[in-house]
Amino acid sequence: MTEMVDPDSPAHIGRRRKEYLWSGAGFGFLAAVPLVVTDQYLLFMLSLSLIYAIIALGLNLTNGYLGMLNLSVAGQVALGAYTCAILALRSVPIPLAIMASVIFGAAVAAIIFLIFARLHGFFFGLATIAAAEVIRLLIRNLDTITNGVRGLRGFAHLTDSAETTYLALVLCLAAIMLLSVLTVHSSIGLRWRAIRENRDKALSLGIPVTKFQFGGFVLSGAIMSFGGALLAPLLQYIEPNIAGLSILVQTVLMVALGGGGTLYGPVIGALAITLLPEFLRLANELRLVIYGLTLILVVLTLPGGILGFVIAKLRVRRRVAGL
Amino acid sequence: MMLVAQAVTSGLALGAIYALAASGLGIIFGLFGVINFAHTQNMMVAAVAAIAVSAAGAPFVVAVVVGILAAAILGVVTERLFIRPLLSHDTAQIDTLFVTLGLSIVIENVMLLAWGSQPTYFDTPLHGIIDLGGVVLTVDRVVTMAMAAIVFIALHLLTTRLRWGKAVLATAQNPVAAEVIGIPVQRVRLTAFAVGAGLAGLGGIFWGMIYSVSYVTGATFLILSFVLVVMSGPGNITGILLCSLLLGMTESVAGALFDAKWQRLAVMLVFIVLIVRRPQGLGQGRLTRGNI
Repeated sequence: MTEMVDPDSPAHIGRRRKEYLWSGAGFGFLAAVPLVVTDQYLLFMLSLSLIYAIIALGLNLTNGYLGMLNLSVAGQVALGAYTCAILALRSVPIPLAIMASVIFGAAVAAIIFLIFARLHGFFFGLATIAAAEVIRLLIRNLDTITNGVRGLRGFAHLTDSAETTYLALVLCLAAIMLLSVLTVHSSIGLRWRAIRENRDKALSLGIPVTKFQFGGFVLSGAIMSFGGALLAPLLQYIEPNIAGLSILVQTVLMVALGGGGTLYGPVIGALAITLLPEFLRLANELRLVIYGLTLILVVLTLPGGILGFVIAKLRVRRRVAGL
Repeated sequence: MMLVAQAVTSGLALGAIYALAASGLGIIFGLFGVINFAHTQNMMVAAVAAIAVSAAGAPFVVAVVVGILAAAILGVVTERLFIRPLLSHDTAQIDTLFVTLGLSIVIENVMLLAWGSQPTYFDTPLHGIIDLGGVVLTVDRVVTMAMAAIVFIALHLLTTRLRWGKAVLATAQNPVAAEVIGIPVQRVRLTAFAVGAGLAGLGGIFWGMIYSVSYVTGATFLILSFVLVVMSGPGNITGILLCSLLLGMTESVAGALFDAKWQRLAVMLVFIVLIVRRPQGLGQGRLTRGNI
């Protein structure tokens, strides 16, 4: 997996600076898109893919960097979306509603982790799916608040125009990316990777594993709820199936396709997965069939995802060139 | 009181279907440790195949056999094409989870495209009701319970008395050592998958008989079947029957006392309490990998 380097070594800082430059250029490019793209629907799809990128980044923290099996995506997204929508319908301003969703999402993630802290690996994963299912059933059943299976609609937009919404979302993604970069490159990130590589060794080195997993899980949950909270005002309609299995498949696929445990992989995966079926103009059911097939193919043939593949190729080239 | 007695008896039939759905997973996941998220799709495929064959005019028994065979074939294909190539990966378990999750979504949506979203039910000759002094049972429910009982007795004998069962346990415990002493490891795994998928298929056929089948049937049982295997503890195949009956009755009684919409939530809460209080499951079975 990722090599362990002293984050303060000069060689590493040089490479880091290059990475920041590339990343800044990438976000500059994303922000410049509305200058070229004026089609409202295309901008909407681009905005949607940015939100999915945020959700995928959130999932990547636990599954990619901490080596946990966190499958609560659908629950956290639905939680954020419904909190935001319900508050917006009670005429709370959208930014405040989103903040409340993030806090609520983090609180629920904390509760989920504390309940299941004793479980590891697949058992933890299964428990988080069960938690997501409980959230879905509560949303479906508490129809006085959530309007049940009929769903919610008629709340405020994120901003007034599609262009400003898109730009706001680029900013949101940049903020979440910065947060991930800073966390992953900090000593916290180093310990996360230590836990991922060998949990028992990390414990024996005195790393409080559960505490770090708790922090990572709550941060990841908060980010995914943040994505959900952005999703509601963009889609303008939400229903309980937002917490269904398909969003789990979609997010897992984004992380796996782009490359789990890398910073930019999930973003690449999210953009590819949301935009490609749109360009191919596929029906929804066919889209899910393709998602499923892609997930199978990626895991079978491209274990590191696109970015993992590219990095491996680059490394070989560097080694051949004697660098 | 009569209401609760009625709910308990229909809960037993529901539990019998759950038990069939999870029994194969008890071998595949409980013993081999393979996470097959496409396992319950076998139920839907078997039921749809049985309904299609029956609609074409085939007799009831033939339709059931065809359904079970369809599921068994799907199980074999799943193992051969999607699970075996992953065994050499470092993160084999998680990779299998993702691949079978993808497969599950593919099967579900292909079925939606081919069959439509309309639920269908399996019309069988098992009509009629049995009145037990106020508590009414339908014949198909009684047959379901009887079949579940037969299947679990057979599974118990198969895993404890027969050579095949011993080969399965040996393969699950240590595939390399099993191969060394001459057990055809690959074939044993393949047959275990076929049997597991066929049993799930049988459960799906009964589900289509008593309730109805649509493209989401597989997804409905997915989490539940894993929950049952985890609850009963690894390798504890008879435990799956007990846990299934417990959850079936919980669901049925919750539906009778409160409202049908709270049924699933009650089941999930029972699971969460159990997995937190006893992560190792209700009972370590005799068939665990650690002790044969």
